Amino acid sequence: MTPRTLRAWSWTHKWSSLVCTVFMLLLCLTGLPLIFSHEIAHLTGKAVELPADAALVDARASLDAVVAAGQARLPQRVVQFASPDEEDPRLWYVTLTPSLETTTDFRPIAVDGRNAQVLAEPRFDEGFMHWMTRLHIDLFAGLPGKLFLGLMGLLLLVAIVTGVVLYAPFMRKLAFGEVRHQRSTRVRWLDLHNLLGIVTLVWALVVGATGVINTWADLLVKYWQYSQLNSLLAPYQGQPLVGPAERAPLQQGMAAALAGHPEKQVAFIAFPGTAFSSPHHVTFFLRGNTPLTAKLLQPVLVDARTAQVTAAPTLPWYLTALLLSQPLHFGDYGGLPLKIIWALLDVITLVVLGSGLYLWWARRRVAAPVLAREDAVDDELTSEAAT
Amino acid sequence: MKPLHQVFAMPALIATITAVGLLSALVADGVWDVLSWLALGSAVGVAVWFAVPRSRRAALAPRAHDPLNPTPSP
Repeated sequence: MTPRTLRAWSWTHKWSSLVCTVFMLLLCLTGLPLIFSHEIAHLTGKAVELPADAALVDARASLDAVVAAGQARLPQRVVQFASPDEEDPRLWYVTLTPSLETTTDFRPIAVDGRNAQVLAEPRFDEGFMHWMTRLHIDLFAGLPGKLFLGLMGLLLLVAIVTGVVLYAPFMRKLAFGEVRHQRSTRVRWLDLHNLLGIVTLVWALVVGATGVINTWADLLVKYWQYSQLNSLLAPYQGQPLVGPAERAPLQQGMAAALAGHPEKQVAFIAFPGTAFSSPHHVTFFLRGNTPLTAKLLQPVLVDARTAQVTAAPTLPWYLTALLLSQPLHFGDYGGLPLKIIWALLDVITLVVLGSGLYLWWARRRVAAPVLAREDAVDDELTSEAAT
Repeated sequence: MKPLHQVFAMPALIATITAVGLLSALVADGVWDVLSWLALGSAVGVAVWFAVPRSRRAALAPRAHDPLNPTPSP
């Protein structure tokens, strides 16, 4: 690599990292508790559990009763989603929002699926975890915030790739893993930065890239509706929104959706007029039973008036990519040990980011002649070691 | 000066193991999860092992006792 090429790669690495580092530090810090959000919810009592009741062993209330129970709690709001609990499908969450517009103002009502009794109204829009979530996902700034963080993520990917290119000239004279602790603090941290960076390379790339993809979720869903759903739903063009009073029983709709996919179960339900459905359909998103298919969704659009299945389109590749980007980003697909390892890799990334910042800062403070002398001693020592 | 393929040999190995670890638990449960923990855990292990200074590293690793060449105490 010529000195000029090295300078160009260094410049790109320096500036792409500098711009995104503060935000990446924030994302790594807020991400740390988010890895354990499920465990924290259980610890803080926000997780809901079905009360044991022998009388209710085989009881199942209709989906309509469950949703009605949720709606009754907050009559001034509308139901956007309903979903069974991932661990216990007898427990349902009915999500109510101020209107059908996309929002982060969710109020989930936990309803017992056996007898349609409201169990709890867990509040996720306040407290420490709420702050961690909002800072991490969009800096409290909605879609522009998400897209901005996505842009920072792209810079991170540039920083990582240029970092790999720069690894070669710096490691040509060193053994793998060699850290020159006996030299100056700056050299020591340079070696640590390179070591920790190269070891966590693939993890950082995957978490970074999937993070970027997740910031595009709203846009990808909108595009899907525009490109795929609109043609499927052309017969319904111009018809008004199907309000709650005009809808066929949800239980019937769910049965119709599941009838076509016996090996699947309901992941969540989107109601007419919401971002994930059409004004005239209830969309049942089904998921498979195996560990891999459980992460992929099959939407089934059921006519809200007649409870007939209108369409069950295959999700396009970009939505499949989005769905797989979620577990790969959260690290929640391999049990608690995986989450712990995820947290450790996150901490190592914090050290890579912090040391990078230190290296830039330290280099700025040191005069050029000192740097030149350091680099000369460096070359001398490594050529000695080679003989 | 090491040739490029030697510089990247260990990093490439670790990268492959990490990739396998990430995908393994995604595809299935049970032993595939364990494979994931081992693969990703080894990457963390390598990072920690080399990051810790040699003097402290000696205290971490079990020492072999050789009566002809006694290792000096730290």
